[in-house]
Amino acid sequence: MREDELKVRRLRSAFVETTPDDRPTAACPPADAIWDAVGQGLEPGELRRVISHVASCPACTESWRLASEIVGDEASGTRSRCPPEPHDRRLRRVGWSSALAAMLAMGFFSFFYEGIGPGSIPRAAAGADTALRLAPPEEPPTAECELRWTGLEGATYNVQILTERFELLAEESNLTQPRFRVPEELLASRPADTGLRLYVAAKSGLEGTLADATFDVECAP
Amino acid sequence: MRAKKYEHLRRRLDAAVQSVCPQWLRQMQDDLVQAGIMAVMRIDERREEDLALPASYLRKVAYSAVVDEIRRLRARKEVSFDAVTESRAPTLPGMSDPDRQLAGKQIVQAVRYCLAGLLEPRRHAVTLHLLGYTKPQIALRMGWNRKRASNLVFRGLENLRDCLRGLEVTP
Repeated sequence: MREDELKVRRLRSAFVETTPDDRPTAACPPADAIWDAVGQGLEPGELRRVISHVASCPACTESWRLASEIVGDEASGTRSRCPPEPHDRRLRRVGWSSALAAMLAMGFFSFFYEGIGPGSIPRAAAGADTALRLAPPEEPPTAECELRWTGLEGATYNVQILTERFELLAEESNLTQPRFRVPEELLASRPADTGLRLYVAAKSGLEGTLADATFDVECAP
Repeated sequence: MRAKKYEHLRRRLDAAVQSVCPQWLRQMQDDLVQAGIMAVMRIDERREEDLALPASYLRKVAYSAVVDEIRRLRARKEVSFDAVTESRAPTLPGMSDPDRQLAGKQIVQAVRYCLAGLLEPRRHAVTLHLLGYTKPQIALRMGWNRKRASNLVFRGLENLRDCLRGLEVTP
């Protein structure tokens, strides 16, 4: 290891060190603000204020690192080296309303379904906002529940299948194609009358999350 | 099914506390994590059935509860010598334990002191760098181009080292 790297590591080690007498003060930003700063959900001015405070406050440095660990942030220098858990995929959300507005404005994220037909109803409907345009089915009905959305150039997709109460049922990361087939066993085993939700985040290696959205989904068992 | 969701969240919180918090806080890990889970459960109970809550929002709720609990513990913590020495992991080789503790404490304080003296953009860049972000990640986060981020980190670290040398502290 180069001497410079070693020195930076020592500086990092010193920077993240805390003791019991590192107390929070009235100047500490609310936990929500630190969370938003880590998730890049703050305006630039507010972000700078939070970072300036973190620079001077060991307790808030600890809070930042905690948020970073929970979010699955990209910061690497101070993260644990434990392998991720099976469900611990990296997902970051941008605000639902802003992402949706951006998607609608750019017209690139139309969501549609296939397999419409009596007896086999993989049906998707826009969730919170019915203004989302649904494309008509283009392929013959099928019993398989394959969910599709129009893709973004160069993007990969992280998806989660959730219950209506946002309980995680399945997830997949780094899909290169804008489609996801809901596992048959999941369809077979879910309780009757339980609706599903699809969360999709379009990601770019350089720019992080480009857009994300949540949809209600209905698939025939 | 709900238990499964909470279990997933609990694992995340557990891992984060385990990874980040010092030993004296990890001793209260179960309480910290439980505070986060309880906050989410309260939200779940209160909300209307058809109101959609993203998993990321629930994580934020849980995180905020954990941080609030940590702040509460920190605010009331009476410092004991054992806690301090246990928390201060030796960082410099070739020293006796008391020397290490003293040197470690000096470095920690000196780094914060010197950071405060940096020009603001350099302070932001170096702070993020010390939090583990790469220069491209810093650029993206701060809305700078990569060259600017790289320069700010480089100059900032240089200033930081100069300041530490001035304080006769060697990291």
